[in-house]
Order: sequence, then structure tokens, then C-alpha cells
Amino acid sequence: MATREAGKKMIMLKSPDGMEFEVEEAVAMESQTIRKMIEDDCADTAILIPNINSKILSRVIEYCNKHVPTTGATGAAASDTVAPAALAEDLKIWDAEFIKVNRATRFDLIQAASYLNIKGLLDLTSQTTIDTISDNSLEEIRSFLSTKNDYLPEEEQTIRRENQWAFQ
Amino acid sequence: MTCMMEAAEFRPWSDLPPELLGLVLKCLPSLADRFRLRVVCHPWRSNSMLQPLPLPFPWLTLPDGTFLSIPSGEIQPICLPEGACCQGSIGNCLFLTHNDDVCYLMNPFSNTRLELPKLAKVWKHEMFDPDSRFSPIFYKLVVPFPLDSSPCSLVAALIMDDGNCGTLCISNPPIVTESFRDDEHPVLELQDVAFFDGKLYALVFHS
Repeated sequence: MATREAGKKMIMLKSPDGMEFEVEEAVAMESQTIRKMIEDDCADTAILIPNINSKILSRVIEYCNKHVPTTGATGAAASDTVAPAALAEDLKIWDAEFIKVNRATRFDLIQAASYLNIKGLLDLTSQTTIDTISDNSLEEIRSFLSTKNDYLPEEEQTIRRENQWAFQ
Repeated sequence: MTCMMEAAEFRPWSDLPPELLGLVLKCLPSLADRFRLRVVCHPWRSNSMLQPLPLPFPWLTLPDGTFLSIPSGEIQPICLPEGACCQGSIGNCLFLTHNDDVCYLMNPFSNTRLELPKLAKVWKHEMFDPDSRFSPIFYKLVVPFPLDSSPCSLVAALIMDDGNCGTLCISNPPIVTESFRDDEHPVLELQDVAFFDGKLYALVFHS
């Protein structure tokens, strides 16, 4: 982690595989789950995040770092000079790059976003799933999501025949 | 850690928790997309049934008998039974007339049918003159409860003819269809009907 300015409250996030991440409290509080723990005084110096391995947790922290509001002295001097619309556009481009990950990582990210209650990340991860479903055929959806087709061939054929309209 | 990450590569999306699947479903306003999601795998099918969802965007009926899906703009052809003519819709059901005499509601997704007994005959009988030159031009169907979720299948049909006169037929399948047309006071013209709080209200025009 980069060296922080003096006076910034730091918090330690621990993954179940033993890795520790020191992050600014404001960054950690992008997660409503962590925010509540901090506000309820349940958070000690370190918070164990169960179910989210270090690989995913580091990606989540990367997302929060980028999305933490840049008002105040959070080290983002750009916010003073760049118009909000340009910042939003910049974030959109960054998000699009951030989510270019494999299916398994996306699956873990959507679960992590849900558990940690990070609305922006949840919207981003679910939107990519929505796009996958909206734009592709059933075979492509299964292939993109690595989901095994557990329908019997005749079972699927019947569903398709009876609902031809959905498969045009 | 390596082992964990490798295992994760093979984690199937069919394991997606129901609440997250619900989140995805809620953002799919198109009926076809929702349907395709359900058919991806069995867990998605059963989990999606647990989700209370906002109504999907409606389809628009086009004059050639196809349907325009919103917001995708896709044209959805639905095969109607041979000889059937789509005259309107209510909820998920199409109102079909068949060779002028058979009228029924058909859910094109489940293919279930609800026949409205003798609706056409009753309507014709109620005309001032059985050989009247008037033809039905518009059907409005109303129900006290959604057809899909209620065992009660009462349907009221307001049939406007090209003489600008309305006849109200009430059908309680499979038993009976009755009609109401105020022949005694033809000045009372039925304009519209609606169910409210389980009661049927009619808007009449009094000249």
C-alpha cells in the first residue's frame, strides 16, 4: 500500500487466507457492511472479511479506492480542476476496464459486492450479467457463464417448442 | 491460495444465490430475456420462481398479428391456432375469436385456454335486429382478479359495434355468458367498464 498522509485513519482488512490490507477508513466505508461495523464500534483495528479471498478482496479495494468521493483532501487533486461530468466519464471508462475479468472472478466479485454491500460494484457486476443475458442466445449465455446445461435433451426440446417466441 | 483460485475458476454460475439472481431478473424488463434466464439451468429456474418481480414491459399487438417487444424492439411472432383472430388482450391472455362463434382467452406462454361460452351468440342475440348490419369493432375485457393468479375466471366484455353502441357480456366460464344491453332505454349508451374493489362499474352516456 502507498504511504498515506498523516492523520488519515487507517483500517486493516483481513482475508480468510491470511492476507492483510491496510486501507483508509473512508475507502473501507464505501462498503455499507464495513461502514455499519465501524459506526457501531464493532470494528477493532482489523476486520476479518470472511468468504472473500485475498485476490477478490484486493480487487474490491481497488474499486473502492477509485470510487471513494474525491472531495476533501483525499489525495485527488484532480477533483479541483476537472469537471464532475468528465470525472464521471473517466470512472465509467475505468469501470469498463475493471470488469474485463474472467467469469469466475466476476462471479466472486458479484458475491463480494453483495456481502460487503457496495452498491456501485453490485450494479456494475450485475449489469455485465444482464448484458450477457440480453444480448445472447441460450447457448451463448451458458457458455459465457460456464453454466452446465442440466436439462435433458428432450426436456429442453419441449420447452423450446412450446416457447418458440423466446428463442427466435 | 493457488488451490482456492483454481477451484474458483470452475465455480458454476448456477450457484448464484437467489437474491443475486433476483437482482439480475429485476433489471431484465423484457419477457423473452426473463424467460431465457429461467431456461439456463434448473437452479436458475427454481430460484427465479421465488422472486417477486415488477411487471415486464408490455408487448404491443401489431396489425399483422405479431407483437412488438419493448424495449428491445424485437418483433415476436406468436403462432395463433388456425382460423383464430386476435381481437384484444387482457393480462397475459389473448382474446381470440374463431369463425365468429367461438371466443376464448389463450395464454400464449402456457397455451392454456379459457373458453367464453357462447359470447358471440349472446352478443348477436342481444342486438335489436338479429340480422343487424352492425359488426363488433372493439372489445374491452375486464376482470375482477388477475386471471393467472385467481381461481375465479369471471370476465366482463364490453363489445362496441360500428353503430357506436356497446353491449356488456359477462362470462363466468365454463357455465354461462349473460349480456346486458338497455334496449328499453337506448339513449343510455355504454361507453366503458371497469372493475373496482370487486364491483363492476360502467360508464354510460346519457343523451
